[in-house]
Amino acid sequence: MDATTITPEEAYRQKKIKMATSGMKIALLMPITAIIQNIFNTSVTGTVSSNLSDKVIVSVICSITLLAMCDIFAGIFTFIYNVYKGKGIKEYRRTTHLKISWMMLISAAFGGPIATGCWMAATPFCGLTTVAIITSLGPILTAIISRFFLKESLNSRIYLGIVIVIVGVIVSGWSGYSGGGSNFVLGCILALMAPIGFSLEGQFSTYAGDIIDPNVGCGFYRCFGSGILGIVFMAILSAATGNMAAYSSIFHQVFASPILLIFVIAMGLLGAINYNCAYLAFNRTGPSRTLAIDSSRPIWSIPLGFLFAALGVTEYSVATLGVVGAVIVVAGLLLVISKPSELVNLRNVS
Amino acid sequence: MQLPLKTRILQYAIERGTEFSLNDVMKDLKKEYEGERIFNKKQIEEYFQSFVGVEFFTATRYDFDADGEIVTYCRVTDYGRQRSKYLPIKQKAF
Repeated sequence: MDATTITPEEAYRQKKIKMATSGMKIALLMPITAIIQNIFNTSVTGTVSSNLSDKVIVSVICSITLLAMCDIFAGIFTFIYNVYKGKGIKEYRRTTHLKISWMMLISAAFGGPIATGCWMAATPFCGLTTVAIITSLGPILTAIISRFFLKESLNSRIYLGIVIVIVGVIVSGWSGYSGGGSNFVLGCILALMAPIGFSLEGQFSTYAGDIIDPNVGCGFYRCFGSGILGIVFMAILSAATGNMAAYSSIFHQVFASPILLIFVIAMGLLGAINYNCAYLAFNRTGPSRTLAIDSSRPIWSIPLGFLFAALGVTEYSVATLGVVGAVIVVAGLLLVISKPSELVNLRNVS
Repeated sequence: MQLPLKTRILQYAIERGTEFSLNDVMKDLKKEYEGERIFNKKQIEEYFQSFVGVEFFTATRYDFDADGEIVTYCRVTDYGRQRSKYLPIKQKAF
């Protein structure tokens, strides 16, 4: 740093902005890893569920159990990374002895089994389009809650950017009206639990991450904690609904097939990157900006879709609305991330 | 009970009450985390900056050291002090 051309005040200000900007750069890895993880997830879930009953409850059990297995592998990868950074067993033990750190487990339960389970259960009741619209509301709910809970500093331009991102997400995923489903109100309530769950995950994990290392908390609670919760909840649900044979079959299929196991491990690695980026970005740049950046998936899905199609991993094509939605998302995202100078004050506490 | 390093830095700031720098943290907490790889300047600076970013710490003054690197002196804010309810605090330990 050149002390002759910059004052200490300006250097301090720039350092604060650099930290928050690094959070936004880290957050950019979230949509990319989520899209690639989804490609593996679709393949694994499709293969495993093709050997199970086509009942909705079995599909939910299958998807959440596979995600829980992925979370366990994500925990292993995160632990390896943390050990490499000097945050091994000792730091994990110190962290879990601190009561406030367990808030991250509550946060993991909201973001993991509760939000994901409700999201998947909602579709037969109110239709795919309604679910997609309701679940895309996460970033704006986060911005509203965060303003009061974390005192996050947001202005009208950022709110407008988040709304435009949501419109872009809805346009890009629009597949026409999908009908009312069998119980529209129940479906809407279940679908609404997903953005609420993801928003609460952002709030609680940021609150705890203010005090503890976000990567250690993420590794223990979001990865191992969420994984164990998912596996236990699904075992209970399977037993209660008479689907234990299907539940056992999921594990048997994954561990009997090297390809499926490799795909689940790959999902775990991508999950580790995704969750850790999220928890670190929540802490560095705030949950509202982080989740707005995470919602930019329509942009990244186009080049990644074509890339994986060229590699022969998956089939991919994009409709006009997909491109239009991506363009709208770009416009919204630019509003959210522009003017880095605002990042000098992430929270309104004065 | 030994605290996680990041938490210990916040506890240090709250207990100290007065201004401090990164070097003070390094010097005063060194014995507690002696021999641990987590206790390095890069990691501690990251935690320190993260507290500054979320307004738990506020700068009281700044200067450049001999290498032209900024040295920030901080104190804990009222907002940061509110989190003391989650920590074992001994006032004025230093």
